[in-house]
Amino acid sequence: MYFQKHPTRTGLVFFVILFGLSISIIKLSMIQIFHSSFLTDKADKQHNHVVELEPRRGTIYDRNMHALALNVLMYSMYANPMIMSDEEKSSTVTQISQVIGMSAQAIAQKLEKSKHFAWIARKIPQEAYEKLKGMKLHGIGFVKESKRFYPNGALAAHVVGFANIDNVGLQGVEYEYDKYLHGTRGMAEFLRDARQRDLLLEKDFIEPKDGEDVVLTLDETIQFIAENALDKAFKKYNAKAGTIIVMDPKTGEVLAFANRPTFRPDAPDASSVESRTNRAVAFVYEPGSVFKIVTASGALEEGAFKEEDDIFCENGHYLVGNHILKDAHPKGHLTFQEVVEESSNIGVTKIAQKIGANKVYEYARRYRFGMKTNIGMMGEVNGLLKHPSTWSKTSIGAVPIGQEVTVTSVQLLGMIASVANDGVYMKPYYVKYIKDNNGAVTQVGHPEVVSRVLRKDIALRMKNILKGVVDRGTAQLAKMKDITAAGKTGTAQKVVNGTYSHSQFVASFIGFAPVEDPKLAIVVTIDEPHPAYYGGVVSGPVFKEGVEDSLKYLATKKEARDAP
Amino acid sequence: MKISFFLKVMFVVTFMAVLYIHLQMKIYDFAYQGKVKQQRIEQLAEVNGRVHNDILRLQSSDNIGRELLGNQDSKFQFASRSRVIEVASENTTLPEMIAHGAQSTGGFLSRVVSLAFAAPHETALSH
Repeated sequence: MYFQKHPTRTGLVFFVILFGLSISIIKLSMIQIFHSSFLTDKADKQHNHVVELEPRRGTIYDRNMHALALNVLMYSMYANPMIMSDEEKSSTVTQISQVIGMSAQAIAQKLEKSKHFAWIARKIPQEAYEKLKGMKLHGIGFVKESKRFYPNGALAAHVVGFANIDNVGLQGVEYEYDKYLHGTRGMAEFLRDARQRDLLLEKDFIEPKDGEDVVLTLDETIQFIAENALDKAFKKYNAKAGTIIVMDPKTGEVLAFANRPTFRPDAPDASSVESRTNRAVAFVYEPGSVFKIVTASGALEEGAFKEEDDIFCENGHYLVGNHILKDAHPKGHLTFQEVVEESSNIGVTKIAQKIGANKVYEYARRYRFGMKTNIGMMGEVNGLLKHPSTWSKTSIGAVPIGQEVTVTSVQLLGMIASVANDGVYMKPYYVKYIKDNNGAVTQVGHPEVVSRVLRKDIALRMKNILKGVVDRGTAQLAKMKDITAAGKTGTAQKVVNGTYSHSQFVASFIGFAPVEDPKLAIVVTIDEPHPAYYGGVVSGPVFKEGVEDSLKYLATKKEARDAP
Repeated sequence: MKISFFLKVMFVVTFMAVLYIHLQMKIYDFAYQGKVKQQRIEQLAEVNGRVHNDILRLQSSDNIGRELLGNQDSKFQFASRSRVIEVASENTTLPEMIAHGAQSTGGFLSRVVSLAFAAPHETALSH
């Protein structure tokens, strides 16, 4: 009735209501259809939080499962400059600078950025974090990150290597096995409340895959023994550099490996590039008398000489081509064995002249000089071994005694270890195996026979001769009371400005012990020692200390293992 | 549809809706509590991690070696087999010898002595 009585008014009200509903429908359509993706994204960002999950970088162990490198949690500090006032920035700069020791100017520069996120300092010490957190500075936050930790400090630094601040390996095992160590990142999507706080409710989760662990053949204790012995000589003789490598000659497992100068893997920037260089594989030098093992063993293998054969050493002066070859200590008649024991240059040259340049070259190649050992370390070089077709008239008086040829320390190790191993050359290696988080072994390093260099009977004779070097010859300072040892000394003149120096030498000793059942093959080289420079004087005692303590340690370990 | 049936349906639907919302709130409440506990666990894990790393550093060969052997005047050295003397005797230990001697005379005294000196066999002395 009312509607019939007032049609205009009714129509107007109806129209207004209809108009309002239409507006609402249009607005809803705009929101639901045209702006839906934008608004959904915005809501998603407000309600959900995607967090990247960092995997645990794999641990590097020694052969006894002692950690040499592992991850620790540290805090990194960031700032949100956009929400900080100028006064806050100024006071924050002062406070942070005092705590972490960073320059105020550098911090202020970071806070000048027009961003919501700016790193101030990554992976700060725990004490600094706790102090700064307690200050509750506005606009300053902390993020948890992992950092590499090396419990042994600089021990085995050139083997273990180091990783950068983003846990990417840059040298050593950290670099060479980075693809196993780094793992795979995961992801988690958490719900957030209205105050943007993460709740413990996951919408989505991809588990990170932690890195695999690498177990080395190194023995932490033998590594310390070797480095301690090397350090003593390095400091005593004010040397420029030094190397020591210890290997099991029967398997090729490297038990210790060290260079001097060295560096701290947790602070590589504090050291020079030279300190970080793995000189045992990357630096070459003329080996000097240690190379005489090549000539002598070749002569025995060819049947050209016997131990008691007489060789006249020309009383210290011998013309080779147009060059007069000299002995440090002039000798007359020596037996073949004594030539090696006394390290007569003239005696060895005459041995080489008898077997010929081609045979010297052949045996040098058998010992893998002039080629890599394939130990698997970055930067390994071949060294230099000239083919006899390029030798000069004086080369027959140089190459057989370790001149005009360049080698690396690891090549010398391969040579002495093959003599110790009854003439069989084993490939040196330093990674025992790689395992995943479940303990399953994914890769295994194993002993690898490369070649037979000498017949077994010849190797045994060579061992006896080298034992004589220690018992009676130039390496008497390497002699031990209860342990038999064999080896060869080397005192090589360095080439300076194209000529052999009379003041700069490389003092070496390569050897193995015990002779009857070699357990350790060791090479020690010390670059530019002074005032003493003879291999037997400088490097021999390092070998002795390394062998004595290592064998005592191994015996104790064996007893503990065999104990009922 | 009768009004009473409609009201019953509405009541049930409303009840279910309120229950759902209540449960959702509970879930969020547990999430907050869980977050607090997670933070506590993380703190403890961090402390544990730091202690573990300190232990690793202290027990490392580098640290122990430098402490014991690094000093030139250090009197420590690796144990050597040559410094261990092993003494082996057919008649076992002295207490057992006494017990054996007492037993041979027989009687109550031998049993008391043998019980009193029942000791494990020792084979090595070191000095």
